[in-house]
Amino acid sequence: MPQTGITERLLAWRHGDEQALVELMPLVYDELRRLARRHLRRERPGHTLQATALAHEAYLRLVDANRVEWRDRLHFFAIASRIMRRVLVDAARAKAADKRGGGAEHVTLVDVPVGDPDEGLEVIALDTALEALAAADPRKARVVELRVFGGLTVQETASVLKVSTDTVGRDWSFAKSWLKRALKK
Amino acid sequence: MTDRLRRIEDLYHAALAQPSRARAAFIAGACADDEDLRREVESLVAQATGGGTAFETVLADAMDAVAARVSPGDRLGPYTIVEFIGQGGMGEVYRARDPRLQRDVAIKVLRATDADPDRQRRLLAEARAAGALNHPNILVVYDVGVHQGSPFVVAELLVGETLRQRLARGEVSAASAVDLATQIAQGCEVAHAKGIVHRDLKPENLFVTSDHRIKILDFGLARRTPVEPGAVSLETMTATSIGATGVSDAGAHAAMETRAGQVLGTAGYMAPEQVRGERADHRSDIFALGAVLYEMITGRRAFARSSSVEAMQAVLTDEPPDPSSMDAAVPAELAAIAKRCREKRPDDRFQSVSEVRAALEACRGVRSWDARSPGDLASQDLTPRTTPRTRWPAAAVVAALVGSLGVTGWLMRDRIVAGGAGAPIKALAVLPLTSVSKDAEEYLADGLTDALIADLARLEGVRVISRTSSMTYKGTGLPLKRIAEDLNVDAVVEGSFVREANRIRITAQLIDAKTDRSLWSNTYERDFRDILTMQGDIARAIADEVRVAVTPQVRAHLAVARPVNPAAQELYLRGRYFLGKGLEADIRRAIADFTEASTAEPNYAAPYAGLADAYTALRSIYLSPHDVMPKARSAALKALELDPELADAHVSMGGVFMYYDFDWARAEAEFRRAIDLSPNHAVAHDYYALYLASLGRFDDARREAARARELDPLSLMILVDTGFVHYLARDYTQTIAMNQRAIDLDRNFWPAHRDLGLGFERVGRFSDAVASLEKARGIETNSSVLEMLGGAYAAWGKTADAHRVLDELTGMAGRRYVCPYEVATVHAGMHDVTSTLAWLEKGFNERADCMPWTFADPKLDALHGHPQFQALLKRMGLPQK
Repeated sequence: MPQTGITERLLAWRHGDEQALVELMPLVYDELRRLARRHLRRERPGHTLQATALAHEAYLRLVDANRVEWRDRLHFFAIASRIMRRVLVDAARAKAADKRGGGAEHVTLVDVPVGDPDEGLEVIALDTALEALAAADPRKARVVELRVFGGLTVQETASVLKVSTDTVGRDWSFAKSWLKRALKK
Repeated sequence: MTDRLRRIEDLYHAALAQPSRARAAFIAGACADDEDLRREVESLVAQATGGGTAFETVLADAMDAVAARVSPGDRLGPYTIVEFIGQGGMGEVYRARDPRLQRDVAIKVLRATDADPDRQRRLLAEARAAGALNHPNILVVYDVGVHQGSPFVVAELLVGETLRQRLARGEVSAASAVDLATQIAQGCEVAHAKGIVHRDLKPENLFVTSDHRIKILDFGLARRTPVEPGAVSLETMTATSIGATGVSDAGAHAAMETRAGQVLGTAGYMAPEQVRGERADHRSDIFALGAVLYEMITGRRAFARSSSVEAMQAVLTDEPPDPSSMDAAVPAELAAIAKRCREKRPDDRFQSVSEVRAALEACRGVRSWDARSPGDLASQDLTPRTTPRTRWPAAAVVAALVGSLGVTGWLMRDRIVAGGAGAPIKALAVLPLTSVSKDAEEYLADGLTDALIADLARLEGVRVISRTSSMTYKGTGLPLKRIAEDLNVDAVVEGSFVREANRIRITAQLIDAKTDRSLWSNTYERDFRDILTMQGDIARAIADEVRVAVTPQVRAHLAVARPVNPAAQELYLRGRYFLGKGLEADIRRAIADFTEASTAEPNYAAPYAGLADAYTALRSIYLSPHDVMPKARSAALKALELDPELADAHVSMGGVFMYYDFDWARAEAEFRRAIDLSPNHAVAHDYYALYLASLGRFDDARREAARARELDPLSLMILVDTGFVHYLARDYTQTIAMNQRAIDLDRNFWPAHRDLGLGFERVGRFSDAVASLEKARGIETNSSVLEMLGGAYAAWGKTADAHRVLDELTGMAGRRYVCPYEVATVHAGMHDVTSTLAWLEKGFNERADCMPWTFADPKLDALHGHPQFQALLKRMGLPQK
């Protein structure tokens, strides 16, 4: 059931209304976070696609597909990819803060460590590495953002960035290697 | 991008373009004098070819971090999260606000690993066990629920600390120990009286509020023991904090004697019989109380050992040192009570907590060791004797919450208090499920929706809108409120699904239509083969949420594991999808799919029922009854053999009895059985209405028709059928109204134009009748349209036109099956009794499916005095006027 206002803002933004984007971001942020929680499964199989599946689901829920062109759809994913990155990094940061004792002054009923405390924190490293990559080559960082966090295909990414699919392919390959190396350091 | 980076990138791509053997040499050559450059390129190329961190994994882990917590402002059912309080053994504890009662509550959100429906079910069972307890010394649990896949427990928000935390600050005075032990005994007394044994009493599970009241926590381990012969044993055992307290080995040992996965208590507090894995009863709690009392008065654990195994051994064989010998201030009477509680043999202990309580009271009376009143004791003596009196810790607001419990009664009261927010749900609609994947198969979405509706239709006490009406809203994007108003329901079920290879994940939520508030939401993920079981789980969860009584039979049906061959299920769903389209080619395709499905999974009933419906659908439109009805019959029989409780198959079977066998008694039995099994089955009510009308039982027929329409208000076919029931009952205004409504919904629905014409003809609006029938014919030249058209001309007195239509009708009979009854009624309209009777005889011999109307059809009214007609009615088993 598309939410009112989102489609309008998406269209307005495409027509140059920057304020519309400002209003759009928190709506999409909330929706993505909500969907992410709802879909939490700890079972590993079938788990890996979630971030991108979520962007798609958010799109279906938020945007009235009958009223937008396919380019608007891509624009939505372009926004969603950035927001998804923020959702994940924010959550990981919050978790890291807890680990440092954010909740330690509270008296807890049963003091039991739960799960792997480091789980989920790698995304912070990925985020930092992406920042560094963006400093050296913004387009490559954007390619990663669109593909990893937004689930866009090479063609869709090319269309959003207005470059050829070959360029996206090369950027993607190089950026992946670059990030993998950065994460191993 | 710097030139340097561009150079690195170019070399990177160039190197990857080389055969792998040649890469090292290529890079070395290209970077001849630049060692840094060579290392850069080599390391990057190595990443491209080697393994490494998959982004997907990084993201998936990060997703967990997103989902593992709820944040302030989040809503769990009616509760709004205020703040994170702490991490408990089974999940996180939050302070939350209940806006209905304007109070703060504690919510423990169990970890998503506990999202397994089985565990959730057990949790609810535990909630019920604990719900029976209502005592100031037992934690009050208000509610349980599921939030985005994680069960949560809502309880009173307590201020204070656990007895463990209290003891960490030093031992308790004897007087306070008596007071606290008495309270523990009082709480246990209530539980024991209800047959509930705690089984895991320990300082961690005993909460001391700031006003010195004991709250016993964690009846999560409670198991109801029979209090009287034949009482039901409620299994509520779950694996909880035992691993965390380091006694998993002991637990495993003990669990061998009982059920796998059960946890039996905590080493050092659990009674010898629990350690041995024998049955625990209320006297096991008395043992634990003794151990706790000992610890309170001595400040030492009764069975402190370096490992849990040793602690368990100590419980079996050792006696802790006599407190009197350690501290002169400990009265001997109190030490003796603690000791008697801890006897190794249950028979040697106090036999009830009431006895313990009486002993403690007596001890209080001795009082030689403490002159102060209990009130003073409570307020002062909880501070340790060994340290100066201290204030409560700054963050002493603690949610005393455990992984269990729920008081349905409480919740119900809450809802009543809350008024509108918790108005009962009397009717609900399942909106078409949507696929999250971009190009998911439409039939899968429709099929899942159908199946969920079918499972919910079994519930009594709640009206569940049937598929046709729900499907109308597919992709419309209308606001929920509007849909709910249209369908006259209080709540809607909305859902989406993702299918990835052989896994399927369904997210469903129940939304209060008035407030647009999510009442319940859950995500299920299973193997595709378990899809039916998953649907049952969803239906049950919704049933619990709307608090309808689920009969044991229905519960059993929904609970039973129904594994199904994924291929068969998919074919079945696709078959249903095509059958729903209704054209001959679609029906034939559906038959092919059902047949293939039943080949793939010969023991699966649903495809046979589908097959029966498909043959039945072919019957009236295209084929002679003898060609299709025996096939429908054997398919329905096969379906019922495999699943005697399949309502669809009973409806199909009833159809065969009614329209082919003219066996009225058995037809009625089948329709009624279907309705029993699935009170919300709109088609069953619809078929039954037609059945009743054909026998002249019009009041009952109208009632059933109304029920069908209530359940499926937007079903065109049900509107038309209802119109026909009214026609047989000679209430032609209603016939006109029903069909006009159907036309309003879909202008191309030809049966409605046909029957609108029929209604007009009956009230003498002949030109309107002909216009409507011509419209029907323009959409579909069906023999039944010609029948009505001929009838209208005949009634209008335009005999020549009637004959022309009659010729057309008989001409059609050469190309496809035409029901002789249809020809008969045109002759009847022209008062040709002989021809009418001849065609009726032919219809009877062919077992034509219109024949059931013979008795009630107003067009045949003139024949009722005719002996041959009476004989026909008699042969058909129909009543006579």
